[in-house]
Amino acid sequence: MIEIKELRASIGEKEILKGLNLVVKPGEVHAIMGPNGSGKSTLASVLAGREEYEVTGGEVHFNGKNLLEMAPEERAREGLFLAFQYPVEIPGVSNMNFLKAAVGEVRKHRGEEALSAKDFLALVKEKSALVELDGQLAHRAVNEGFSGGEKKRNEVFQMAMLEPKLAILDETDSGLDIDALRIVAQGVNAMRSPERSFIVITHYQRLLDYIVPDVVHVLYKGKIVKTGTKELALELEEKGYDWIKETVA
Amino acid sequence: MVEVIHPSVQKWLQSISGCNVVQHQFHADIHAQLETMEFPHSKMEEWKYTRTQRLNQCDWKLQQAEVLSDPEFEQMDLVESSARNTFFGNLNQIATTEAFALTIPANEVFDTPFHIVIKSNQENAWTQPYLRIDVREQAQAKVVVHFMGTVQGLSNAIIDVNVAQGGQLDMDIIEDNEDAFFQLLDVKVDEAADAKCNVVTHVLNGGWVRNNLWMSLNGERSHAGLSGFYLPQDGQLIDNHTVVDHRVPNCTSDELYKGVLYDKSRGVFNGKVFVRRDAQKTQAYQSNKNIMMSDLAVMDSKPELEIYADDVRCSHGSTTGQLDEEALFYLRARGLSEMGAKQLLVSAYVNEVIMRSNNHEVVTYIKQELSNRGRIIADEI
Repeated sequence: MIEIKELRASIGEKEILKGLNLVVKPGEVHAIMGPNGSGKSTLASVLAGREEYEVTGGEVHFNGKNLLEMAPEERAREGLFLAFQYPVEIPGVSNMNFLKAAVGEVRKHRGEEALSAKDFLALVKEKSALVELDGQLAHRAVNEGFSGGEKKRNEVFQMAMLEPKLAILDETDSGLDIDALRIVAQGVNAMRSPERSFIVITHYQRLLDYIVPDVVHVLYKGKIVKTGTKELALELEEKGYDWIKETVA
Repeated sequence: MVEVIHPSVQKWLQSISGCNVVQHQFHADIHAQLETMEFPHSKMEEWKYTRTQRLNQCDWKLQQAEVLSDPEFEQMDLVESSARNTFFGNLNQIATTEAFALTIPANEVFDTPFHIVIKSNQENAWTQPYLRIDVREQAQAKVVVHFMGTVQGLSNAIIDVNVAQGGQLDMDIIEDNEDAFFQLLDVKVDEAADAKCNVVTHVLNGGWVRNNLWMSLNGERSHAGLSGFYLPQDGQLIDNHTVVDHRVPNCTSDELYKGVLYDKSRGVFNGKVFVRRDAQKTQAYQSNKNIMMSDLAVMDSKPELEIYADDVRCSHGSTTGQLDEEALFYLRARGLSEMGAKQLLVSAYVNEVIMRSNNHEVVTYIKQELSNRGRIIADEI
């Protein structure tokens, strides 16, 4: 699915990713954990194509294609989805119009026919139920006036609409109460399939009680320093990141 | 002493002599006043940012516009408007090419809008239409004034609006002209007590546009709404000058003009709000916002507030910036092209102005037209 080799990236003068390696196979769920400032969100941003970050070395292959050469929209159309840590409020742009345009682009790229208005609305209804998103929210402006939980549910709703091959969840659990967390996880779990992979970036083990990963990585100072099974997350929760810092040092 | 007529004015006066025009009650006075004026140039405060030379470089032929309207618009033989005291205003008044009046009788409420289309489709035609709209006591109406210039031409139009006590008027002005067309429009609105008038100016296209909108709140508890959008591209120039004159207490005004400027285009906004000494408890809001889509585009925005009363709530502001980069990335990360994402953001931006119209037909029409022209993405659901 995705193969990241020796990835290096900087913002301004500061190097954040310092030779990161990661391979995610179809159907796998990988969790990336790590202390603040370890480069978790940078990884998500670089993979999604955020232009503020400069890739200074390494390669990323996404289904055999060179991901780093693609514009953000090409990555999305190829099946990469980033659930934002801080979803942007876009006043005046209705969720519906935005999603219709996005679904249209993705389907066109896959060589699928455009959905009729009726089929589109049926899909909206089905997918918004998945994350218990109020039907009214779908008709409002993108994220405008949404609570923190609603914004994250909206991200998962969009993910369900776009049916990506690889979804990257960037601290989707941050700012969520336990109920919202459960709903978001339920939406993600419903989408798990042998063809779809997930990279779940989180600071806390809590989310992984709900979205159970196949592999857990620890990111520290821009590199993956430890890889293990889901038990590694529990160990981290118990011992804290200092344990990793000491091990690496 | 013999006054010498300025050569720049002489040229225009000569080109109207012998033409068939609508009579004006105060023709002699207005003509005499015009003879003392100069053709507008950039040293005049009102014309500081808008170049007028190109208007002088064409050989205009004064003639009638093609007017299509609902039958309620009556053709007038005599115009009685008071002197505009501006070069182009007076020029229209001494040589009006056609004049129409719409009167909404007292207490009559119309849901169906009245339409008038003023069209210039003759090469180098110069038209000077005059329109008068009277909304009598407690009457309500919606009016759409649609200007179209399909070839190189010049339209120097005047609209006089009078909304009597308790009357309500929603007026949508649509300007849809070719790039080689010059549009001048001078709108003057007078409102009596408890009147409401909402004017939305939709500049669909135009190579050179100068709009003047002057709204006077003459009676207490009256309200003025002023809105407009402009999306100039290539080398187009769109200039909106507005004045809101709060003359009496307890009135409100709400103004929003928004522009998106592309390529080497120019935009001008000059909005004055006067709050006279007696106009206590005035609430006046004015905002001009602009998005620059190109480094070569230029926007001159000048909001002006003059307050002589002490118990008022007024605010004004002007912002000029770029599209929100975060929003742009968010949309692209969902698969929208850079162009599509920009269009969607521009649509949302402009919609705020379009939606200030109370005429659903116009809202739908404008969105559809802008969408057909690839300027915005119309909402389909």
